[in-house]
Amino acid sequence: MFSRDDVALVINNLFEPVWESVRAVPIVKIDFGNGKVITRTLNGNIATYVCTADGDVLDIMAGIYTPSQYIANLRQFYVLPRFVDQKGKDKRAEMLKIYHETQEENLKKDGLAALLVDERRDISKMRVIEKPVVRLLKPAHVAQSQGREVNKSKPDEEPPKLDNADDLANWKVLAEDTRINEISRRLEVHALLKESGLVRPEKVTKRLYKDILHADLDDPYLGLGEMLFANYPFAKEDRARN
Amino acid sequence: MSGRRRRILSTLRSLACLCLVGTLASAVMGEDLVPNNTARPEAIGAKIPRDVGKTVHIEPPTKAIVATKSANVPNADNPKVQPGLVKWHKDFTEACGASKKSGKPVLLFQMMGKLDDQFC
Repeated sequence: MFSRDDVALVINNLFEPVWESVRAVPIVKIDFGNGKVITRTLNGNIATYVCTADGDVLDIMAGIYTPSQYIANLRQFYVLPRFVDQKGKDKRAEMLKIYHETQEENLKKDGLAALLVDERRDISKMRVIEKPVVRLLKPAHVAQSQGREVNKSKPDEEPPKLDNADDLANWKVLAEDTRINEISRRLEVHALLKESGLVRPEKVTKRLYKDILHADLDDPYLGLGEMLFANYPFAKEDRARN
Repeated sequence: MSGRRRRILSTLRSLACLCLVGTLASAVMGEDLVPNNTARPEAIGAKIPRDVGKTVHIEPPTKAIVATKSANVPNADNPKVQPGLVKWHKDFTEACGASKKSGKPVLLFQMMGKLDDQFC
């Protein structure tokens, strides 16, 4: 993802980016004993947070996304700090709660998130807006103002031109993951952040991974233990050794 | 005859009796007495489940996990690489400091594994 020019351009231009590892990713190596070794990762997952300069978490994308949806969400993330601070920093917590409540409501009702619209972009040359406003609008209202319709049934993204059938299949899986993340996981994230209020990332990370990404960071086997050890005759010895 | 010699002969007689009993028992059961290590005729070609513990109980969960929940990492080595084209700050504190100066929000990307490992 971050090797793509379009994604890197948006991130480098609009954000101060940083990455961190929450834990080592489980790796499975199968050594066939003839020089052939297959190495695979298991149960890895990702999350992208937007935070203020004070370190407050404003929103999170949990899981994997197609590049175009990721960029679209990043552009919303870029506007979000201006939305929550437009009535002053002392009102940030209140505005953030409104944001998450509104998003939760929209997702439950329409299956679509509300959109942040920065009205500074609509300034015509003949008009000066003294107090630029960032509004949180339903997608239908945004589309209407732009002279188009919102069609929930139509996929937001057409697949790129892929010659290889496997690549196309993988893209479809990614697109479906994105769709699920945009609805179900975003709903869970909004509920989590509405409840937690203004917090630093470390205060929500474990809950995010455990409850939303289903990877308990405190579990040494990342949720795989029961499946791996249930019928294994040497499970006790393994656990004692580890 | 000395006592020791009597004991040896007694032991030999006991062993001989045991062999006879075993032979008679085998004859009754129809066992082939010739120790040629060939399989019983009725076992050849029969579909007898083998390694049931391993194939039915122990290995399937691991196989299922590897088959359905893993990502392909073609190279067993995991060398360090440039983490994409993004200009990452070295930690969250540095990113927040930069954000105060530039006015841009902080973007924190979290993952399992390391972004500068080739396979993560």
